[in-house]
Amino acid sequence: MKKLVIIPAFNEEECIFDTVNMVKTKASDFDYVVINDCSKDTTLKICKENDINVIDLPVNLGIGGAVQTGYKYALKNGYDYAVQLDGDGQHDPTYLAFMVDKMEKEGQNMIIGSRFIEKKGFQSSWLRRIGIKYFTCLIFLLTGKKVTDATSGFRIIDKEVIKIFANDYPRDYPEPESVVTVLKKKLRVEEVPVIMRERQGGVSSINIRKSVYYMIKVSIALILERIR
Amino acid sequence: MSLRLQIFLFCIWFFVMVFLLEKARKKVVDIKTLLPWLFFDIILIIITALPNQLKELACWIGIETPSNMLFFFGFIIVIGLLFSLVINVSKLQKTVKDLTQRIAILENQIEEDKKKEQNDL
Repeated sequence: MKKLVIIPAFNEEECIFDTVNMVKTKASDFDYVVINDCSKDTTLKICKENDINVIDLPVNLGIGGAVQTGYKYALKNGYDYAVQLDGDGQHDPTYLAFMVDKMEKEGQNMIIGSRFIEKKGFQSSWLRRIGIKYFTCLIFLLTGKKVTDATSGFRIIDKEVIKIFANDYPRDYPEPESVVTVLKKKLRVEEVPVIMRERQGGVSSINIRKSVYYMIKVSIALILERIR
Repeated sequence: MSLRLQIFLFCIWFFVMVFLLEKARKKVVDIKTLLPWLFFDIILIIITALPNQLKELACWIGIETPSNMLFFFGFIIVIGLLFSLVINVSKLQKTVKDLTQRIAILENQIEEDKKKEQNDL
């Protein structure tokens, strides 16, 4: 089975080297590719200096565009599984073997690493948790499926979903919408409990104003996605 | 505002809403770009539902009739939406320029590498 780790990175000079090393040591049976989303810092330089496999986007596309680039790369190179692993060190590659195993055994199309099944580890700010709870309810209303961590970027997908995402993936705040897309196509989605760490360095790109926009935009998108 | 006019306007705003949402659903237009337009449509629905409040507001600002005020603010909002498109286009122009330059330099690099290879042979 060909397996790919997609590592989107925007201004992650502080953690990208460690993140890639972690993947190389803890998930050595996976290939990886860093997607440099036109970082303004030395992220690209660090990748080039350390012979890290990197796709350098000439224009900043945001998380959706960057990760979709990874999915297009996965499709082009015939990967069977693709997993998103954030460049800031929040996702632990140790879980990858377990996630792949579950996917193969149960015939799932997508496995999401959720922070909120066992509620261990970094639980994010209370404001974000309210937002995530809201999406859990909305997605349940729209699809009948309970997804405890719809905003988690830590997800592994199979060939069928790679094809879907490579073709069509939201540009901003893609996580909840893409889950509904997969559920709507009657594909199988499951969650596993994971422990995420706090950001190992750098700065998050979400603030209050963006959060409000996020809630409105994604809510409309989810509803539209369901009736597509 | 007569009831007939109100119903007529509600129908128009409703069809506009459906039109906008259809474009979003079919992914013809990105939801992010459509949000201000959806918001504008909702404002129009609210205004149509509260014609008396509109009259009071017009009086308070000092505009003679509510319809004048509606046209005036409607005009300003449309100009605002238009300008956001101008900003969007400018950003796209810069992106196209950056990509063009990068591709051209990349092609030059490939040519140079090819020549070097041939010279080495």
